[in-house]
Amino acid sequence: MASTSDTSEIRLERLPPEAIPIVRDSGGSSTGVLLSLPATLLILVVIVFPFAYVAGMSLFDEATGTFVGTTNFRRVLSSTDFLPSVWVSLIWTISNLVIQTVCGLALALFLNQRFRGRDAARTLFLVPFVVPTAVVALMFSWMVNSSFGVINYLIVTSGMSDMPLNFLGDPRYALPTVILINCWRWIPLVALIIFSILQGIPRSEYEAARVEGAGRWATFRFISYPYLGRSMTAIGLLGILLTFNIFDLIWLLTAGGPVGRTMSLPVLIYDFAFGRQDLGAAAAASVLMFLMLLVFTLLYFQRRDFKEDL
Amino acid sequence: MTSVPQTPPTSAAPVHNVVVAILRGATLVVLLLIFMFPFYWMVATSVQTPEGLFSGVKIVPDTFTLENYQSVLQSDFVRINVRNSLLIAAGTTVVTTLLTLAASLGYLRYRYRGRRFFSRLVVLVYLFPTVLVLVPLYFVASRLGLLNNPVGLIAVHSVLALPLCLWILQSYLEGVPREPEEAAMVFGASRARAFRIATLPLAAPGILASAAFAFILSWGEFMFSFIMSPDPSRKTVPVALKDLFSSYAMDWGVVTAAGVVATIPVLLLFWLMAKYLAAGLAKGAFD
Repeated sequence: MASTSDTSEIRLERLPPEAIPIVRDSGGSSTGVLLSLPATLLILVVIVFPFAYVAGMSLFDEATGTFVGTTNFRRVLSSTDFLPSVWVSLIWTISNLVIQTVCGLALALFLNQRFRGRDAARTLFLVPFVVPTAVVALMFSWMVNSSFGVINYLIVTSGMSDMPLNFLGDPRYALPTVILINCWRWIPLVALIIFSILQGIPRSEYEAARVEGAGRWATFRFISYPYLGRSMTAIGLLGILLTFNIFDLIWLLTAGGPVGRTMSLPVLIYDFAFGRQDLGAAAAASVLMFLMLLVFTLLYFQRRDFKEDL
Repeated sequence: MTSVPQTPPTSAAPVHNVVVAILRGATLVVLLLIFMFPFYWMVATSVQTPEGLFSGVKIVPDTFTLENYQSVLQSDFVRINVRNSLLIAAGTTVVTTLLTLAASLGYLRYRYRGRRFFSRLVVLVYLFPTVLVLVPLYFVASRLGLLNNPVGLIAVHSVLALPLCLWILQSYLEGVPREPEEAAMVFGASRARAFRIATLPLAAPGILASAAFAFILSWGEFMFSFIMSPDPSRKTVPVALKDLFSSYAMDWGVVTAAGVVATIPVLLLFWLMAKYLAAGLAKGAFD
């Protein structure tokens, strides 16, 4: 089993990039650039240039157009909303990541067993992820409704509480509720990604383990886990960024309330820009958020480059 | 991604196997209940009469009516919002598919300067907090007259769909045999033409999967649609749904019926990509 550890990294890459014939000779290069150009331009126009504009905007007074240096930044940092919302974002990201990884792994290992209806189950599990966010928000707003919601009905009839709980309106419950709803949506997808990595593990490794008399736990610990660990660092970093950036589900469910308890950084930036019409603050907060995430972005790219060099 | 058994087979008595099968079935039922119940509840609510709804919570509805659907179908929701969303989602699908095909051909078949830059730029779309570009895009769109204009949203939705569409198609193309394309080139076809006539037809499921994803993404996108298309006659389905379920005079029967209507196109399309979505995401994440 120990002898497989050095080859496993290479095998994980299902196809080495060089397996594809690539035109290296003259003439091919410009065609390649030309073909990727439309997509590149569209991304630049919609994402990169607007962000450069935001970064510039953070240094100016939006009303007068005069250069104000770090004033906007100081205003944001000293506002009473900024630090609490960083805190909300941290709780949001970490809880989502932990719950989704643990439950996603469990679900993936379950689906990795062979049983009738497994493929149909896998397809069904994708439905929460593909339905519009607004539909998810609608379904759960209705389910946790304090007067007629089915969840409160179950809680009260089972005697867990004598009073219906105001899940989205009570400062104590709002953030956990929104986190759990987001997990409900993403766990199946996380599970399917882990499952597709598990499926990429060569069968011979499992057979070798069986021959050596390894049990279920040993097989997981010494075969599945090392394979998963490597890919999941990359997926985890991607997950941190994707989760941190989520705006619409939170905004649809609570709009940042009650009393700012679900006001994560993206919601705060939105609120600065479109609620309080303070574009300077929105731009400065955007730049601060970008810098916070830059670390993870760089780590992630480093991870990818590491794979490319194999 | 065929279903090759990966589980280490358990060597035990048949009784043990029966117990395992029962436990497995029970787990599956519980899991399906957790992930499917909200949908059941939305449908169950949508077919109840207002009296049925407000006479208390019933897990199995005891009234049945299609009136909620009737009022949704006759409302602006279908006449205006569904139409807007269909137009924008169709436009996004066409634009994204064309961009994806061109970029895949370029990326997979040519080695050019900036190839790595391109692949990084593509991931950046998902790493990047999109809320940060909301403000400048709003300005640019209003200056160019693209507010309340389907073209603006089609451009934005295309960028949001592009990375995953590329990954889905590229991970599919990696499994397509190369021989037909090489044969076509031997017979004198250019690389692009060989790709088009020999490889693309074989890649049809991958292309459909990526097109389905583009449509679904555009259909469900909320944030940009909310900001860039605020006019009541230009609102898309998710924005209209938000108005419906956050209004104070809400009728949950009608609201859930609208939710079901908004879910149907997704259900019709998502199975096209169900098999390829996770593979595409995995490719994007660590390729």
